Amino acid sequence: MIKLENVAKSYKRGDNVLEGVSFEVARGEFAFLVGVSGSGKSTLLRLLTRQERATDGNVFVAGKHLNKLKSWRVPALRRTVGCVFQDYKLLEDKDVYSNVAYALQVVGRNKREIEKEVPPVLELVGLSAKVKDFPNELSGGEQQRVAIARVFVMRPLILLADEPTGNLDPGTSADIMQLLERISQIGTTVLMATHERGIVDEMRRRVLELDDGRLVRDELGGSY
Amino acid sequence: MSAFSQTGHIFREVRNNLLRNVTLFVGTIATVWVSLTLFGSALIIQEGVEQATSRWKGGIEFIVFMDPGATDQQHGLVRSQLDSSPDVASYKFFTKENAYEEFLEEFSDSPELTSDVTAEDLPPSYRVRPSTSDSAIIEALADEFKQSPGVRKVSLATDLIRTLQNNSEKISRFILITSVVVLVAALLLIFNTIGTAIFARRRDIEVMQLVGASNFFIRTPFVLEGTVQGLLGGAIAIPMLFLLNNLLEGFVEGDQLELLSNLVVDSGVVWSTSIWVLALGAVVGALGSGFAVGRHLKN
Repeated sequence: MIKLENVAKSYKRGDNVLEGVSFEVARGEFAFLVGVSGSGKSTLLRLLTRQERATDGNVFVAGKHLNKLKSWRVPALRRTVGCVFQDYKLLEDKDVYSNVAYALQVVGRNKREIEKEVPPVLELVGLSAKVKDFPNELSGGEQQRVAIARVFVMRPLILLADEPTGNLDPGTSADIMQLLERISQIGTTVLMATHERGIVDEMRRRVLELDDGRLVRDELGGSY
Repeated sequence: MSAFSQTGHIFREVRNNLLRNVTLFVGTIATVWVSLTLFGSALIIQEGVEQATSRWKGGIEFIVFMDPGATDQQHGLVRSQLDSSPDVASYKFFTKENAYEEFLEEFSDSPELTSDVTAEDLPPSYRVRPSTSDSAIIEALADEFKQSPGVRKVSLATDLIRTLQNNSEKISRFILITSVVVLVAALLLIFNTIGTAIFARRRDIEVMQLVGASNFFIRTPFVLEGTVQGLLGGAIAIPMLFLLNNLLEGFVEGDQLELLSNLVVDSGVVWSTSIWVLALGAVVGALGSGFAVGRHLKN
């Protein structure tokens, strides 16, 4: 589902943010991407959504060779690769329902489809009772659930999460992790960048570790 | 789906964007409006001058204005000069009363002016149609009358035409250059307005890009927004063009040489100019916003 071959990324010549990174993540797999701040985790995730292009090497996502992907095909790629972030990126002027519906709306789904698709997803993330609430009325954990619902309603093949629990307390983080695990069990590939030791150690999943732009560890059932 | 609901979404976005920053919106439209009014005026003036001068190419006239107190003998002398000249095809005597009627018509809106003037104050005149179009001969002929007793002034249409041609070319070129400068300012303003709109909506845009909305879907509202601004600026320039033509009409009314009256174009010409003005407004709006979208929106 995700395949990197000897990938390098540099913004300035001779100053590589990523270097010689190769790994593969299979369909439905759950993997952590760990490493200290500045090790290249976020850059790697940005390569997978074609927000950035690799300077060298090959990046394949959902069967597409991103180095060769034409710009006008990028939106189609992003419909299959969902992202959640530490800062949620919700639209403050829209309520919970509208935030989730918005994703379907902007890719051209009709009202009937939206009304059919959104409620079960809000149910899945446990926000059925808060559909009319606005982001500023929700806790951090609830906001992240809305963000996850917005991604999941697109039925992506891959879910990329960049420090999704970075702003949450340990209890709430555990709830979010449960949710991501359920999504993974449904068949979605999940790649989550984090530097929260507790979560990684608790889950015992595959761990990919970056250090100064290089992949230094790829361990199944690993710890932080 | 859903071309319909996407179209609806795009139009809602355009409306909301336009209303989001009203002051910038009004300023932009005002700039487009001024530049297009100037542009349209230059076109109308050129058309009017073309119309006025082309008519006068065929039958050049001059007018011999007599002193209001000229004697019958002096009139007789001028008449016999006109009758005997082989270069005069025809002429028409314009009495003080005729001149007064014209004067009243011209200043019908200003009774304070007309109340002090009587027919006695106005010069009678001879309107002359020469048989030749050779301006040298016509000028020599007109000169002959300048010497005659009782003649106040001889106005030569050719002089007017030349003055008109020379000055109007300069004036319309100046207006055209000014309009282009203001139009470029309008384009830059639209570029910035759309840049501001994109900045204001950066969160929505980011989300749209993340979930895979098409570039067409994301960009169209902004390009349409600029186009609407250009069109609106053009639309309010149109009444200005009609107003300008009406003002010109009022100004040249009662022109004794009937030369300036041809400067006023008919409403058909103003309408066709209006179409150009609207089209140019739309083009400037689309270009300005297109540049802004290209500059500020990356994949």
